[in-house]
Amino acid sequence: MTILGKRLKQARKNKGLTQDYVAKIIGTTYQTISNYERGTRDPDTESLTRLANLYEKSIDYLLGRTDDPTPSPAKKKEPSHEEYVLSAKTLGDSLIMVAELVITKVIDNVEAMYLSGLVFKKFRAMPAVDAEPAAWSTVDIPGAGALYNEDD
Amino acid sequence: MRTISIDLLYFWADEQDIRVVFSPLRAYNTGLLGMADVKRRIIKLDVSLRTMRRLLKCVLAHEIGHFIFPPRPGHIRYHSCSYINIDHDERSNIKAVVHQDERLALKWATSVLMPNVEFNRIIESGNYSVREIADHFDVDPLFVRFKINYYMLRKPKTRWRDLIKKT
Repeated sequence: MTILGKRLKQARKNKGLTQDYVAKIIGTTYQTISNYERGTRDPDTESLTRLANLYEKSIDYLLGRTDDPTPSPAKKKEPSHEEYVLSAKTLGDSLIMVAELVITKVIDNVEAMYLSGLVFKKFRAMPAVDAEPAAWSTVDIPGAGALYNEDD
Repeated sequence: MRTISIDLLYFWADEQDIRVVFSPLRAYNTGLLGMADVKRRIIKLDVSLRTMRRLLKCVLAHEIGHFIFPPRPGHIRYHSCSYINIDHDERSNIKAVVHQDERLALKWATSVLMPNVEFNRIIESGNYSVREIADHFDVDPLFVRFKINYYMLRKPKTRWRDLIKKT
């Protein structure tokens, strides 16, 4: 018995399925499934893919190339640059992300301006987090005034 | 090597309705290179920066940082002429707040001009001097020193001599 046949049989038994049932699902006969498991015949790529999907095992595991039976998850879609920079929660973080893209040569400075425009548009729509008026209030200190005045 | 251009920084200032003007700030305070007036949305830069492009970029980024992290209560008091008359305890509290604001702006500015991904790669190789890192990112060497200090805060056991090549 080959390693492929051994693992096919093991996987089928783990699922609690019969050769007849599997044959019906795959669209073949139970003798063929039996031949696969005994190693007298190798499944074609299409049948192997169907069996791997049915047993929820990776093809590499069935072929004996790895001992990890979990199939690889479907690749996640890479976020676009716009989605990436707009995912930040603060304006400062978004601008740092834009700068990162520039420094790592993903985008140039012109594209960075476009992305920053989107960032400012997003955060302008949000309620402004402004400093309290007390930050520049001097009324509570008699005689206090800014050291540097614009009129100077 | 692609770096953050000064045009991008001007664009960021413009998008936030900030006016950037050059003014003889050093006539008022010898060490003053730039100041941000968040209320009137003006950044004032010293006229001497016109001839120092790299330092201009760093100072401008730092002043934009003050708009990203606006001043908290007490900031103007710190810069007022009657600061010395404030009660001692309150004075130290105000001083702490102002220095926190300055650190926030500086940290943001260094992160923009030298993003962590690239900076960590450079600094962990250990083959660059401060001057070479400054050339790499097209910034002033003073800013590189600030950035290295922030890096060392995250990794306290690292030593300066392990990070920077001797020149």
